[in-house]
Amino acid sequence: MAGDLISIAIGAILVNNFVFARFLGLCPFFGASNNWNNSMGMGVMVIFVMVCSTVLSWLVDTFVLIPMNARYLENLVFIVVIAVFVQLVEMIIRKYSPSLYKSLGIWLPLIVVNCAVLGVVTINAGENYAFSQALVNGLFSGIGFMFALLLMATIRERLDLMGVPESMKGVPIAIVVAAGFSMAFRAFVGLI
Amino acid sequence: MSSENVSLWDEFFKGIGRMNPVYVLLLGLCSSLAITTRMENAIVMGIGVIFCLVCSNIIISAIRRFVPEDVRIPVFISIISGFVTLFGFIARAYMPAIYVALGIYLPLITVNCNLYGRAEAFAQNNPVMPTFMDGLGIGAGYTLAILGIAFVREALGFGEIMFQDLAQFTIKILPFQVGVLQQPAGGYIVMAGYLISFTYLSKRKERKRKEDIAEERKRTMENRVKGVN
Amino acid sequence: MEVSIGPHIRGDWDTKRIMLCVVLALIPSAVAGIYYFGYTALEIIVLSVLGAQITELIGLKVLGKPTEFDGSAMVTGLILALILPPSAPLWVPIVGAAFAMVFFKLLFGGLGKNIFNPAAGGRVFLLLSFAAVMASFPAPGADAVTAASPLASTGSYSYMDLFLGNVSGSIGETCKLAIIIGGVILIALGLIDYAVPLVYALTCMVIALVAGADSLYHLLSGGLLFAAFFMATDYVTTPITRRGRVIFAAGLGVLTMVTRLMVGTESISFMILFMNGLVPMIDRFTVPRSFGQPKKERRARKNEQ
Repeated sequence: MAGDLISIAIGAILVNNFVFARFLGLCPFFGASNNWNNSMGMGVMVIFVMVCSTVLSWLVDTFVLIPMNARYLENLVFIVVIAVFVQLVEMIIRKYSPSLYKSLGIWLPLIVVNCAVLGVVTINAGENYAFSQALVNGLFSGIGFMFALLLMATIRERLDLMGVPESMKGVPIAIVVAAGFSMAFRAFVGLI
Repeated sequence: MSSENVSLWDEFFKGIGRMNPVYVLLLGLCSSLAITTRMENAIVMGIGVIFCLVCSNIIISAIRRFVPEDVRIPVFISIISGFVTLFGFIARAYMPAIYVALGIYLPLITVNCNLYGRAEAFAQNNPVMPTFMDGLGIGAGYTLAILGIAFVREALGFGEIMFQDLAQFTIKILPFQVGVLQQPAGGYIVMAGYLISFTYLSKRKERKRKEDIAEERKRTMENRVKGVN
Repeated sequence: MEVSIGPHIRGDWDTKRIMLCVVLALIPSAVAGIYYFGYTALEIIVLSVLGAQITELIGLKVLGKPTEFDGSAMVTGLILALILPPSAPLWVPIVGAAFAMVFFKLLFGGLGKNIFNPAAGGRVFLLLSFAAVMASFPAPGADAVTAASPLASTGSYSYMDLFLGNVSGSIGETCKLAIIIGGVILIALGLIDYAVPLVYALTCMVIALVAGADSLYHLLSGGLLFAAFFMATDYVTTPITRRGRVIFAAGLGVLTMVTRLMVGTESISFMILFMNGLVPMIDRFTVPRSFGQPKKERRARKNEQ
C-alpha cells in the first residue's frame, strides 16, 4: 500500500506532471508564472483547493453518486462542488483576513475554471482510487503543479532580464521552455 | 446587406482571426495540446467545443437578466457542464473509439477557459443573436487552430493521417516518423512554432504599416512643399 | 548590446578564444572516436559542426544580429556529434544540430541567453524522435555488428577497455583517457571549475556503492565523464556561484544514478536539460541578494571565492 502511494506521488510530480505531461492547468500556468510572487500565490491556492476538492468529491462520489448509480452526473456534480467550495472560501477569507484575501484571494475565481482541479478529481474518479490514493494524488499533483510554476517563474524572470527577441517575449518563449522540460521529463517515464 | 448583418458576421470572423482563442487569446491551451495527436480526435473535440459553447452561450444570454451577480460562476458553469455531459453521451454512443481516446479531456471541456470566458465576457452582456455568432466564431477559430496543430503532429509524428471512427482511410505522408511530436513535448513544439510565426508575421506587418504611413506622410509633406514653391 | 556569457574564470578572455580552447580540449575525444569507429565518425563530426554553424549564421541574420564567428556554434556542433552513436545515418547530425541551434539557442536570442544546453537538447530531441536510429551502437572496429552499449550489459567489459574506449558507445564518450586529457586542459587553462566534474563523479560513485553496484564500472561507462567535463560545465547553463555549481553537480549525479539504476536507461542528456532548467532557481537561493546585477559585481564576487 505504501509503495503504491509512493508511486502515485512520484507519478503525479514527475511522470505525469500536470504541466509538462498531462497539459492540465495551462491557462493559469502561463498566466501566473511571470514572476515568483504570483507563482507562489497561485501554487499555494491550487494545492489547497485541489486537496479539499479531492476530499469533497471523493465523499460525494462514494456516498452519493455511486449508491444512486448516477456516476454519469460526476462532471456536473464535481464542478458544482468545486465552484461552491471556492466561493465559500473566498467569502470566508474576505471576511476574516483581508490581508490574505488581498495576496491570495484574487486567484480564487480563476481556480474554479482551472482544469487542473477538475482534472485531478476526474482522474481520481476514473481510476477508482481509494480515499488515501485520491488524497495523495490530489496533494502531489498540486505540488507538481506548483513546482512547475516556480521553475517557470525563475526562468521567466531571468529571460526578462536577458531580453529575448521581440516576437518571443512572454508566452511564446515560455512555451519553448515548457517544451524543453517536457522533453527532459520523458526520461522519468520508466520510474513507475 | 444591412449594417446589423455586417456586425453579426464580424462577431463570427473575429473568433477566427484577430481574436483567435488559441493563438491570440491563449485560452483552451490544455486541450489544444493534449488531444492533438490525431486529427480525428481534434475534429471531435472541436465539434464538442462548438456544440457546448454555442448552446451554453445562448442559454446564458437568454437568462442573463435573472442571474444575480454573486452566484453567476456556479450557475454558468453548471449550464456549461450540462451540455458537456450531454455531448459525452452522444460521443460515447456514436464514436466510442474517439470517446476513449479523448479520455478526461472531454469532460474537461467544462473548464475549457473559452467557454467560461465567453460567458463572462460576452454572453452575459449581449442579446442572443450576437452571442450565437460569437460562440460559433470562437468555436470555429478554436477548431481550426487545433486542426492546424493536429495536422502537423499527425503527419510528421506518425507519418500518416489516419481516420478510423468518423471515416475509414489512411493517407501516407512521410516515409519516416518524428517520434517526439506524438509525445507531450510535441504539443509544445508545434504550438511554439505556430505562435512564433504568427507573432513574427503580425509584428512585421505592423512595422510595414508604420513605414508605409511614414512614407505617405513624407510624400504629402514634400508635395506640399513643392506646391508652396 | 554587449552579451555576457556568464561568470567565466578567465574574465579577460573573449568568447572566441575560450570557445576555441574548448574545441582544442574536445579534439582528443574526436580523434579517439575516429580511431575506433572510422571514417563515418569523421563525417558525423563534420556535418554536425557545419550544420550548427550554418544554422547559427542564418538565425543571426533573421534576428538582425552581427554574424561574427564566435566559435560557440562550433562547440555545440562538436559536442553534439561526440554524443551521437557512430552508426547514425548522415542526416541525423544535420537535423539534430539545426534543431539544437534553433530551438534551444536562437529562439532565446543567441549566446548567453539560452536556458538549456543546446547540444544536450539536440540529442534529447533525436533520441525521442528517432529512437530506432539512436539506440544502436556498433562495436568499435567493426562496421555492421551492433552491440549493446556498455550500460545495457553491465560487467561485460574490462576496466581497461572501458578506460581506453575499446567499447561500443557514442563517438566521443567511449575513450575516457581522451576525455580526461581534454578535461585537464580545460582545468589547467582555468576555463572550468574542477569542482563540477569532481562532485558529479563522486556523487554517482557513492550512490552506486550504496546501491551495491560497481561504482568504477558506472564511472567509466556511458556518457558520465564526457558530460561531467564538457556539458555540466557550460558557462551559460550552469549556476553562477561555486555553491550553486556544487548543488547542480550533485543533483545531476543523483538523477543520473536514479535513472540508471531504477529505469535502466542512460538519460544523462535528459537530466542535463532538467538541471539546466533548475539553474535560475538554484541561483535564486545561492546568489547573495543581487541576482541580475551587472557583470562587474559578479566578477567581484568571483574573486572573493
